[in-house]
Amino acid sequence: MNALEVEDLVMHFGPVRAVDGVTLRIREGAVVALVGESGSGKSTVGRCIVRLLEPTGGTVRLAGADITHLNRRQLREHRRDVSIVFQDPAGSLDPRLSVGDIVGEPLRLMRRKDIAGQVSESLRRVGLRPEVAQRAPHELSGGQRQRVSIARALISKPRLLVADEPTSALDVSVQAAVLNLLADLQRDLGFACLFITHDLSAVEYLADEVAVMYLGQLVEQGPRARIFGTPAHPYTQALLSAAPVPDPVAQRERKPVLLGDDLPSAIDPPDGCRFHTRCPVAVDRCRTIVPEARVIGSGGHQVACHLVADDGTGPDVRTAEGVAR
Amino acid sequence: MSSVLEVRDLSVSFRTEDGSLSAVDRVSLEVGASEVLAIVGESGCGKSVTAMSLAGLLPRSARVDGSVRLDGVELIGADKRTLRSIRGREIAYIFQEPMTSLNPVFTVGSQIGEVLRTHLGASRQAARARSIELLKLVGIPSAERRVDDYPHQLSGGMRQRVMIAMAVACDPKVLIADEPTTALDVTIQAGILDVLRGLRERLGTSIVLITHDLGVVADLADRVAVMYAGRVVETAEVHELFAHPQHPYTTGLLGASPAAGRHADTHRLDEIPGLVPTLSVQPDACTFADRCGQAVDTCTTSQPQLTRSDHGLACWNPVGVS
Repeated sequence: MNALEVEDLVMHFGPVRAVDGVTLRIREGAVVALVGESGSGKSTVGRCIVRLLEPTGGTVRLAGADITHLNRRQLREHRRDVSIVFQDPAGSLDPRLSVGDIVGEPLRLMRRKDIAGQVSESLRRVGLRPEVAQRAPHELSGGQRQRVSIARALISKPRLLVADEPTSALDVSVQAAVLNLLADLQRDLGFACLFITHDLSAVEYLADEVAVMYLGQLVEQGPRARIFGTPAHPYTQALLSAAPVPDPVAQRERKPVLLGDDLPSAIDPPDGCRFHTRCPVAVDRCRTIVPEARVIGSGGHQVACHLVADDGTGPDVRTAEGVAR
Repeated sequence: MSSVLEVRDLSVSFRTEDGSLSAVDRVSLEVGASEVLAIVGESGCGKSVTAMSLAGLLPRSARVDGSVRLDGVELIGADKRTLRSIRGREIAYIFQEPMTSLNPVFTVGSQIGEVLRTHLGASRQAARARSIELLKLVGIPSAERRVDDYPHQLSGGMRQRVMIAMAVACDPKVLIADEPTTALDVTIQAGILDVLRGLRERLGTSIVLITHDLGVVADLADRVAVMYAGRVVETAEVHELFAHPQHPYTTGLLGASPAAGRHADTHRLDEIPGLVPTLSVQPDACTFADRCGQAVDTCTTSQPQLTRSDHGLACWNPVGVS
């Protein structure tokens, strides 16, 4: 069974078409990274999945159960199946509560017993001493606070963890500890994970599969090795080429694809392929016809681009002439 | 190589309610003509305070000691008139957040023009023509039209390009770029890094690049100074630093970043345990000792000084030597 099935998800805020038809599945125990730049709608997808938002259209199924339009009371029995960790641990932990109360809150809402014992266990699992339960969030460092968020998210043993930029507010050395922790916990507890991030190096480290979002839609998804090795969509290629690598020899041989600074508005997205205004290889039909997501090759690699053939060959914007894969 | 900017034993401390706080401790740096020096470190290491102290941008609660010489002219303790004639003209800044650094009620043309009129006494007409030139220099398309735009009409990347245009309007000798791409997406960042590279190549501008991103360092820097707890712990030419890092903090930072092709199934990221200390006084010890995997007795009893060589190091027990 899939831990998560998102079908044609749409989320509009008034005129803003933040998410416009996203279809995504996560197998039990798999880590799927949802990558994209600011304004791509990736966080909105995450918020729809944990039902902090009620989608405008489409369906969200958790472990087979349709939760798209459930009300608060109906949602309660599904709450234990999914949790979320946010980017900013300082802003997402109630400053008036003790760490123990914060971590135990999900269980209290489910009216469970022996909460204290499970809080200690959950804190231990994220590498914090049980005594931390007595402390207030402001007494902790940023890295420790993010561990508290993770302990809270995992205490109900969810099938799915939505991690929304969990390391972006942290320094590199602290980031490493949190990424290691997430990898360990995922391996030991076996939950599925939607890892929302703009940090491509973290994606390569944690994800089994990668889904790339641009202006409210998925442009490409597939296994990690395929996306990083032979990305098919021009946007994915540009994104990978633009992220600098921490190696001066390798970095200076790379040539980033420069896309231009003007990201179109989600209020009035471009016709046809939404990427065509910045795409270096766009042709006429890209400006008028919306490309459908198609499976290319094997391994569930999907791409929404007119210029990629069914066998996966197509342009590579990272090379001057564009080569066949 | 003669240095354009020469920093000697720069120390900055702040008066707070809880007493004095040491932010920067005896930092020495040199930046040559058309050289890019990256100052890299994590939050609280003192890299931004160092950058701001270079031309007296710190608040009055800061106590600044040491020497900063720009083409031989001492800036620390210089009078306001001297500083005013140097800031914006000989030494210019760009900051992380371009929106808050631009005035929302004036067009970008009038804001760039103001710099030209103030420092160079340019006429309104000349200022406008030069503004358009500058916008072209930083890669803004249809500059003739964009010069009349207000900041809110521009994307984040465009605004940062406008900030760079303002900063280089008077052809400064030194450009200080404090996390210039941190607030931007990677596809936009690549363009901004390209502009900075172009300035160095075309105008010969020296750049002090403040960043926490080792990828940005690898892309643009000629030399690197790694800062930790207010001190420079290692400094070297960029290829040398990445290939032969010697300070345990530098190797820790490099090992903490996920590398291409590495997955958690087969690799583990290096963690640096513990926290960056907050210091009232610099101790008689290495400030990294309690987080360091290879600290020896000397590290807790005596503070290592940065060696003066091409590959400078402040460490009693360097990586790969013992």
